[in-house]
Amino acid sequence: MAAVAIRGLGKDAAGQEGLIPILHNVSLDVADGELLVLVGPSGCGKSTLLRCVAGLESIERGEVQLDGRRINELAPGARDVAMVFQSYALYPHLTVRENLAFPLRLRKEPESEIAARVAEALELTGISALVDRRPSQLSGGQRQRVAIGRALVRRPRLFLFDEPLSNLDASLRARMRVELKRLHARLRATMIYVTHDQVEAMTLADRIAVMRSGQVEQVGTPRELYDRPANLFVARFLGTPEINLVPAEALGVVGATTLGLRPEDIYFEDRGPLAGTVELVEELGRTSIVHLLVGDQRIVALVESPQAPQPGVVASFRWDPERLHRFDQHEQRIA
Amino acid sequence: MRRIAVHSILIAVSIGVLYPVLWVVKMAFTPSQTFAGASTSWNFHPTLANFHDVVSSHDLAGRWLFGRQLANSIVVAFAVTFVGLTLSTSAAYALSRFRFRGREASLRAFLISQMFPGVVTSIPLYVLLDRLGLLNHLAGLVLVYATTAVPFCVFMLKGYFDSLPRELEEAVLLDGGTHFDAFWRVALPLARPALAVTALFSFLTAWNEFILAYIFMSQPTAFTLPVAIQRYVGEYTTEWGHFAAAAILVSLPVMVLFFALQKHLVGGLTAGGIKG
Repeated sequence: MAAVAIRGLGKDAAGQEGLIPILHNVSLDVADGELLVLVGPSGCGKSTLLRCVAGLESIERGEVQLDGRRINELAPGARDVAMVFQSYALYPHLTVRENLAFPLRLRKEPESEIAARVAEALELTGISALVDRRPSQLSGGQRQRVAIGRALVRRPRLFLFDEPLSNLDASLRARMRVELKRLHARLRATMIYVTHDQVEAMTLADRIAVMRSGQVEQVGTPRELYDRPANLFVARFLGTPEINLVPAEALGVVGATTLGLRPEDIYFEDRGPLAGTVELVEELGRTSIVHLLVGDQRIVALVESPQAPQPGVVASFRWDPERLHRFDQHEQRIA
Repeated sequence: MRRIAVHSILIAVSIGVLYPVLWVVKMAFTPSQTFAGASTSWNFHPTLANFHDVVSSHDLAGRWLFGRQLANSIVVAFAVTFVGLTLSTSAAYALSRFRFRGREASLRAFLISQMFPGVVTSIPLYVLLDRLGLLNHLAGLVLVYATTAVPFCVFMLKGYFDSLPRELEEAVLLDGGTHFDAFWRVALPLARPALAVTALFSFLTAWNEFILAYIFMSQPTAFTLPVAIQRYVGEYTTEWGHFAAAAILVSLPVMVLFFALQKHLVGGLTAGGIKG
């Protein structure tokens, strides 16, 4: 496996008003055996960054290193990286077995070696029964397994995943997420995983890099990013339901402009310092999401279902001051 | 009531379309060489005499003309198909996948070349072939047909390559392949339906072409079949029976090809236009 270092990476695209930066001075490190998730909204440059590492996009500024060696000028096939695409990119005219053997045949591996490695990848991805089918005869989940198998069979130094679960339905996505995590734990391979789904990012990642407008906003473990978001964007992007953002003066806090309060850090109490009218309650089973109106400010709370007040009542609540996130006028976290 | 009206119209149109064909079939199987009245009377004794005469035609030197002309047509049609497909698949792929200087200009040039009827270029082509010493040579005819077939094939195939997801070729590059591997091992096998329909159109263009072959070929042994058929139409008399029999013989391979490639033809025609 390999460690990845991205240094000052920049890339522009030609637009109607000249060059538009897609990636702006991106620097990141991925440790050997680590699973780094790049997450951000559509158009933030995360897929472009991944494609730069893969060699599918040219690098205009900065460099990408694999185990300390610059790979900017290497062709995609010479980088020893494997990529799983959102669209699976399986070869439609080949069977599952032929798809898996394809990269090895290109490299002119001996047939006995190809057979052994294909069998190993089939076993790892659990698709042994499908070897003679063509991609059109497979379900979405099965196709994704084949795509992962085709990446595994190469035993590359680095795995790249470009929104691999986006085309799957919700329940299958959750199952595949677990399988990917299990696979990573088993292989301890270096992986860079792109997604716009913050749940996928939180559950899969060893570390997350949150991106916006071609820049990395914050890098850290899921817990670090959730507990100590560097700015309002990261605070808003991670967490479901979204963090409550209120003006600091509304809660009488000085030295900050905006306060962030996670919905699960709100507790309903008879003599809480604030009260609001319960607009509606979303039952999720064990927990409920309570939507409150405090003056003209909307506040969302996530509580154990038995503690949820009834819609229409005025409920008072408190919060954990230790868990209050403070941001300045530039939307940056105040330590 | 509406269905009866629709069916009546359809039947009438079908008769209208098929009538001339049936007329030709009847003329071919009628021993006489006359035209008048052939369309109305179905009271005749069909014979294969016309077919026999056409197939066994010889020139004064005793050379088997029909055999030569059939061979000429086959050679020209296959050569044009081969040249057209070989040159246009790689050109279409490059135009679809790569951005290079002159790309837009070549696409426009291909398009403009399709706008002129072939006969417009017949005089300059005649002069060119004359200077190259290729008049009355099949190679000259292949060259001329290929110049019209290639742009057409390029457009057909480019449309198809455009519809193939780029990720497939990117996957090949990441798997350690080259751009040629992506073309040869993935894009080309996937383009089979489009290749079939393009090949068929190239073949038909060359097989059916008359005007240019008539202009460039003056020796009966160098004729292709469409020119040979025309020779049955004289200045004062026309051998209608022979003409019709020869027309049917020329159409037979085309019909066989159409039936054989019917499935690919429909697939190929729609494949380029639909994504995914």
